[in-house]
Amino acid sequence: MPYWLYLVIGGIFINNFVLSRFLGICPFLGVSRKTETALGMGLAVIFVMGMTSIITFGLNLLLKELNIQYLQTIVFILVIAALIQLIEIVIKRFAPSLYTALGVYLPLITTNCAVLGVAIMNVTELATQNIFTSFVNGISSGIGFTVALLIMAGIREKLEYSEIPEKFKGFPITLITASIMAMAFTAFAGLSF
Amino acid sequence: MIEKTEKLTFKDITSPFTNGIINNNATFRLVLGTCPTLAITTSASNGIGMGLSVLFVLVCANAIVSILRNIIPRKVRIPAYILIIATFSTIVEMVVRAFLPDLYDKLGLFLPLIVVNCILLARVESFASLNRVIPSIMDGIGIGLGFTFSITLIGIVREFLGAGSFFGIPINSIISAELPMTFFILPAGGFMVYGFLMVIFNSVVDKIQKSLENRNRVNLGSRSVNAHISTPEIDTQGGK
Amino acid sequence: MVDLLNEKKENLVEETNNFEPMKDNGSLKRHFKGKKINESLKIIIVLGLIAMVASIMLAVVNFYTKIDENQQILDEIGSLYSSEISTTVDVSSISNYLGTEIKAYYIADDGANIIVAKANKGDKVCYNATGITIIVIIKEGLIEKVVSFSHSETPGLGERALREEYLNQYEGINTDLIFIPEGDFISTPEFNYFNPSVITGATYSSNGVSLAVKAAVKAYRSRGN
Repeated sequence: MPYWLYLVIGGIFINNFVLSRFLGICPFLGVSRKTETALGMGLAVIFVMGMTSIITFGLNLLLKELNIQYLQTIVFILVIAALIQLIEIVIKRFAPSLYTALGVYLPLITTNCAVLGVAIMNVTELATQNIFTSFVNGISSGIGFTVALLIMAGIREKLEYSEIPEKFKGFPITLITASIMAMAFTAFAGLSF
Repeated sequence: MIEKTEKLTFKDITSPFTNGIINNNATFRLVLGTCPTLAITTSASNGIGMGLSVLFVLVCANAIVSILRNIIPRKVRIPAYILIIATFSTIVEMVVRAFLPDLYDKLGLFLPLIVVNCILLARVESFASLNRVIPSIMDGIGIGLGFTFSITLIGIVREFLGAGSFFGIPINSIISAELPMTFFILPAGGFMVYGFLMVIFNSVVDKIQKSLENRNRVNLGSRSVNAHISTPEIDTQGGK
Repeated sequence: MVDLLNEKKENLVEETNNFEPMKDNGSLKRHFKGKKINESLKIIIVLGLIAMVASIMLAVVNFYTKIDENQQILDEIGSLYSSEISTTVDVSSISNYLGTEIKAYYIADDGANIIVAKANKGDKVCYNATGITIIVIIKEGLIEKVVSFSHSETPGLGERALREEYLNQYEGINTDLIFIPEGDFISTPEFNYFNPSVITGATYSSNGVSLAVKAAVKAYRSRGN
């Protein structure tokens, strides 16, 4: 099996970004009330993560050359913020229908732990050594995030019709739902090829 | 004509501090900063380490943003805040890496991720950019301490149930060796402990606040001077 | 005080009386453009200043907190092993076995080979992680000690594979008994070789330790031992 396919399966199931690595939980708990919004947010995140992986990997090589690696966090986060602004402008100009579907979530992604997380992961972890594997890792992490978000949105839509104890309404029941989802995904921890 | 700056009252200084710990508790009330809450709390000492790092970054960022709040143009306030927060976050990361390498290994990815911790941007934007320096610093300390307290609590519960130890000291001698359930160290356990502790925390705090309110009401009623609280006894007894 | 207020009122009235709607559109544009340039200039100056101050602060802190990994490794070895280090082997000539990395290779005065090896979890690419680093001390063909140097495993889960009680099993094992597969990583070796026990629930972390030990032994053998 090709090397990058391991990364894809790992990113979506085994090391699912939300349910295993705990990155991107703020939008996971906040945006996931309806399936349409969840899908929109997820697609935006996949797109941003893919582009960010490529750009930040290149930037990291540059920082290493100049020996100013301690500026890594600042440079990454500024690049992510700038990239998201740019993507928003481009989408607004060239694909207005796409903008009405996705665009409103783009500014929220700036403070999403997931995007900065994937950027730093790509440069510190061992399995992503070159720009292609970084890109694959970014895209598959985004897909994993979207999958978790969609499942949560579907469950929450149904939860609105259930009788929940007063104290549990809102965040606590969402967290316990997430716990059961994580339990299901833990089964993938034994996958081996 | 020079405006006289208002003097800071005692309440201005202490109320952000006490609010930050209970009323505005970052983890259980504001539900901010959930990413490190779930990932770090596999052991209680990690919780303290992360909490104090966030406290330091929050206090410094609050202070600097409050000092510069009239200078930063409104249009670019978010990039400016991110720049300031990122600077302090990187400083904390470098210091921890040099002086506490064990903690650095355990916190891993989440030290540089303090910069996108929702707590920081939310507090900087909603409090520090509108208030003066000393209340902002107190707010930073309050919210930071509240955050430390809550993630240490989650960490203690998870570590006790999941690994049978308390701050790294195994207590298998007191309890039976069957207790450690790996479930609580797994991500699923983290979500569940967080959810249940949120319910418990909110119930306890609500109960305490209600009982305090009731006590105040009873006290005021018995004094019956200028009592605006409508209990029938006062109206018939007292004066106006 | 009242006089001051009245004066201000007069000034305002004067200003509003002098205000005429600009008939010349060109000057209106120029007026606004000037304002815009002023604003953008202010934005650039403020952001630039903050960035500069930030970079200077970070450079200063970096200067004082720079860590030298080699020095850290040497300190750790010094606290573990009493003998002084006599030679340092060049690790760049050692090929990376199955994705592992030999970070350092020292030879002590009493002939012990101290090797610092880093490995991922077995060869499972799916489990993308930052790796486990261990120190292996080999003396006269026997593995004397295996100690964990750095890892980012979850305490209670993967960390159990890096505790002393688990790493003890490698002590005293003859390096000839360590099976080093040529191709992919194999967790259970052929008969007659040393079969390390694996912790339930931390399988891949244990395999990572096993792989790092194999890498260290391979480096040891490659020096003609």
